[in-house]
Amino acid sequence: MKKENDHLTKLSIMFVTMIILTLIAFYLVSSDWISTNVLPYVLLFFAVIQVVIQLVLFMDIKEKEGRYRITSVVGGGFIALLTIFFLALLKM
Amino acid sequence: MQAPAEEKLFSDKQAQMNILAFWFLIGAEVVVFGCLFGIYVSVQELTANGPGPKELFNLSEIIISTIVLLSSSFTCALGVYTLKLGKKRMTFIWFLLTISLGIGFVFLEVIEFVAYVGEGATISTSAFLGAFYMLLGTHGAHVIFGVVWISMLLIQLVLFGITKDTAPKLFIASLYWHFIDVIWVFIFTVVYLLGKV
Repeated sequence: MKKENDHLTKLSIMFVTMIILTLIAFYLVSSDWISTNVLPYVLLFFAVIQVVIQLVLFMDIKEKEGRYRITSVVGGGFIALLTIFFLALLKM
Repeated sequence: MQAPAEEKLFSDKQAQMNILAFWFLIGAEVVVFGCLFGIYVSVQELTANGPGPKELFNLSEIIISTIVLLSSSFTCALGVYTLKLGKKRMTFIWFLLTISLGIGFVFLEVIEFVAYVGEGATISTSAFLGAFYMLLGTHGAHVIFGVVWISMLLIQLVLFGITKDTAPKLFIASLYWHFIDVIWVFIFTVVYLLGKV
């Protein structure tokens, strides 16, 4: 039973973390605390933290045949990044 | 009665294969949304004298729908947690809460879009708005599909209880729901927050 409660605590802590990250990101955009050159990278970093929480804790990406799960998501992400990169080249 | 253990619920070869196959679908969905994000980022500045991201978006409304969707993801995780413990009633309640929050999210999004269209920002106003409605619309359609899907699984849960059949189905639907939330985190960051920077 103790192990199960631990998992519940972990879920709750991570949920609160995600809400706090969202609020911090919102605050950073509303104020001009960080210069606009750096801010996009900070915000993207926050997004990546939240996504890792979702994938690892909520979706169990590491369970059992874990490598196939990670491979499919990372493979999809790789193609997506290539697409975004080449579409962004069109702007130049 | 002894609650069915987690290993027993998901031990079926078929269930294992179904879950893995769903991860492949998620990989493909990442590509779909990656393309939509790519289009959005590359045409973001083409506002054709219409409203741009800075004028259009109201962040305090967006933060509410973000918290609604994040909460629905959390209740979904709790639903899976009680599902693994074999508690039918609590599983039903958590998943019901999940789809209620999902409907709330869609409702907020519809209000938002109606307000934009009222301001003259329609899908054909500019390339920016076209890409915006495409990206957000695809995400919203996914949320609606998830709501319908989980509703049907809840009917099965009520009829058959937590079995080797229904448990993996609910688990897979929960993966889908978390994936929708992952996409929203990026939409919130790339479209709304970076649109304001």
